[in-house]
Amino acid sequence: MKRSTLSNWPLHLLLLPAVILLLVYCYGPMFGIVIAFQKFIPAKGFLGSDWIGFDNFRYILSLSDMREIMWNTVYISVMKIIAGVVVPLTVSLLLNEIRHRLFKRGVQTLIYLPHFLSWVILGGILVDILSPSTGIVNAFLGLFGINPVYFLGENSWFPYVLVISDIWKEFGFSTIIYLAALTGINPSLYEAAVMDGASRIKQIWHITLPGIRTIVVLLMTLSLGNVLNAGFEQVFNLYSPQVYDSGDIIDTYVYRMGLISAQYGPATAIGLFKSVISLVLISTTYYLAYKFAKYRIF
Amino acid sequence: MKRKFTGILIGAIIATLSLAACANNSNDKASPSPSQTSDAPASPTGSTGGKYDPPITLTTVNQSHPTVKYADGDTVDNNPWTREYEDRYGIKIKSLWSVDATQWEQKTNLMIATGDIPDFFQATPVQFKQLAEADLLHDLSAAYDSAPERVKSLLNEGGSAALDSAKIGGKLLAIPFTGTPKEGAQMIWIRTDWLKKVNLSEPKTMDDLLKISEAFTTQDPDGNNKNDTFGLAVDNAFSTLTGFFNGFHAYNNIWIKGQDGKLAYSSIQPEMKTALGILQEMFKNKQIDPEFGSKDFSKVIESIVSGKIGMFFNSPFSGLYPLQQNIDQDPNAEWKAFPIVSNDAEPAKNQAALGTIGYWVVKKGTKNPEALFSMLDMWTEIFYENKDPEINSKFVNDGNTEIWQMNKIAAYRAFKNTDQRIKVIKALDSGDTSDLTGDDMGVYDKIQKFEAGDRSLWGWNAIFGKDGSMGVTDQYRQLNAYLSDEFITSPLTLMSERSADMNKIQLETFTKIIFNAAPIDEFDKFVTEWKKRGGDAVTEEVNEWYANR
Repeated sequence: MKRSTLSNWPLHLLLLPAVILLLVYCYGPMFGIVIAFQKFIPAKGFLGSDWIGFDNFRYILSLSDMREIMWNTVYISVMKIIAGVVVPLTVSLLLNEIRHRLFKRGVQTLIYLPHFLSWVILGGILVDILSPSTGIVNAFLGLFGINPVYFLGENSWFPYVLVISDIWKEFGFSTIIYLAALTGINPSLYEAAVMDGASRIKQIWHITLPGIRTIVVLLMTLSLGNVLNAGFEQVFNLYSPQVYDSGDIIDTYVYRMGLISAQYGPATAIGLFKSVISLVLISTTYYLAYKFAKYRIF
Repeated sequence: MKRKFTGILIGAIIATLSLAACANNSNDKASPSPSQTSDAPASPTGSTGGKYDPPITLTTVNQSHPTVKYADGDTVDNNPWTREYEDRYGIKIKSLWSVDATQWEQKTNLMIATGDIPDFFQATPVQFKQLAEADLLHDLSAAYDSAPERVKSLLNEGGSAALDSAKIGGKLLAIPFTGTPKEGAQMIWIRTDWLKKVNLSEPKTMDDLLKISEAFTTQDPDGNNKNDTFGLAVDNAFSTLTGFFNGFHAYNNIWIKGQDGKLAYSSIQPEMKTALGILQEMFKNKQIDPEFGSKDFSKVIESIVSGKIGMFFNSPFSGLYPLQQNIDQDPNAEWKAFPIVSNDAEPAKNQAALGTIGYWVVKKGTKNPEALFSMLDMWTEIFYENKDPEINSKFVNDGNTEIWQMNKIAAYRAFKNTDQRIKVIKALDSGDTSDLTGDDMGVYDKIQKFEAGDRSLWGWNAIFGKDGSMGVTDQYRQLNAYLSDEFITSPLTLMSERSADMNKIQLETFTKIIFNAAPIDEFDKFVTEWKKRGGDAVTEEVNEWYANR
């Protein structure tokens, strides 16, 4: 072990720039966590501001809307995580069965495209196409005699609009990852299955799915760390006071508190709180992934 | 052997690259060291108006304007304005960096966080307070006392509140960047071509206004045989409702003096409930866009430009933006500004915020704080008083570029545009332009061109013409139809702690009431809840500040 480390030193040197970047941009700023325990005044800086212990955390928990905001965040992000695995997995399995290469590539590119649009732009577009009076979605529903729905203004609809639009934007990206994993499956397994008379469905069930199990588990594990990230950019560009009940999430609340009202201390405290929860969740799922799928990243 | 050599080579290259990167970084950090530059040339000739010899250098940070184009060879630190500062007063300007307005606050926050501030710069109210608390600001009281009279009157034109707000503990810690809050007070913009069509006259009372709104909704004013127009524009932040609220003697988001002489939060007063009740009725009668909840101001403008809304409350400057766009699209469209109307016998008053855009702050220990007042004096002379067309094209506008935006310190006169309209109209009547400054001449020319038939200059006439919106502003000024926000300092401790929570229920409740998703009595619950969530404590805090001002 040690000898190989020594003889491979140029390779380790190759890592150096990445490590430096990581230290500078990821580990360095972590020092800023101290803000969570301070009555932070920017002009006084980290060292000059007064220490107030856990007051910021107490203050956050005392906010009357905290329960609602936590619930919204978890509800929206859990739906996003589940749909974010199921939808791209299904699509990639379907695409994998397609023989026509040009068609397959075309579909792949098209569903990948929205990934590159920012939520600022999509927000404007969605407000237009979901509009009850002029939007194309409601015009279509109208053909079936359905009354216009104010998707972005009704609490009963808003979380689902968030989930669906998010999946629509991002599923192409995950689909590509799954498709890449699918190419790694040994074709001789399929040949053997055909010999044994397995149908297409059986092949998927017994060969394809087990073949990409590790990737699915990996992506699940990584996404669970995001359970308290319900997607700031998206919600921020779509929500309005009408749907605060169902759409106000931790990040949008922190934005209004931290950046608009300049409450850096409490805002950082919430951020730290989120990170701690994420760390616990990732550690747990990592352990579970190892136990049940015998999979480990490190 | 060969492989090993390659390895070493790669390693060496990477090492050099990362070292080079480090070196670059450290260079970047080292070069802008404001303290050194400012300390070096201390000047013996301190008095205002005189010339520093040897010249002094002041460091600052710069907000860039997209409309400013520097002439060949000119830069942010070498342009007509900076050269004039140097020629006149011996003041050199050194900009540490410049960013556009959208990044300004973030970048200055970052700068303040590092504690490395330039000799002077424009701070936001919150930043000003933070800097003052951290004891980083220079006391300008003495420098102000010896400042030129012209500058003093400029800073006091809108009342003494602006200067008062820059004082903390009796010391003047900043020069207020006075703006035009009273001049910007809202008025009712109405599509007069629609008004003719539905056969109504201009509004004198709130009842008239509600009738107009109803007629604009139900009588198909755009003549397309579809019931697709709305009476009144509403955006989801209620910025287009200020004038409407004021008509009910309700005021949004300000602190007003109550009967008992104490300050009270305006948005929880019973007048607000009345106004919201009327808005709910208008919503039920389809006079308000049912999707207003998801439309911010820019989306509402789209509806106005496409001719779906016939009335909106906004600043007098709306003639140029957004209404000019509607005029460009629709040859029949015509808008006019009217004063806001009252729902009873008592005339309506416009709520007016404190008139400061920001604060020009000076770093503690800066040797020549009075230099800022000299520069401000030059600004006043050139921008507001000059009548020489040559100086005008050199410093204000050469026909292509808004050169005046190259200034390094400015403050606006509270009623500049109102006075300008009066002068321009006088000149239009008499044909005598000798009294006009260069800036006035620009307006004068545009209105003449409009009168000759150029509809692309409609907006100028709508603001500065005989029936222009600045006439309404003039009327406000003469009647002093203003109610000032009494809270003229930056947010207090408890206030900023609680504001996110309290603003949330306010916006939510108001939206739901107008949207008819909650009965109007929800307002009473909101008031109780608002007080419980910190409103009472904040009111106490505000009154404590008010008493010890």
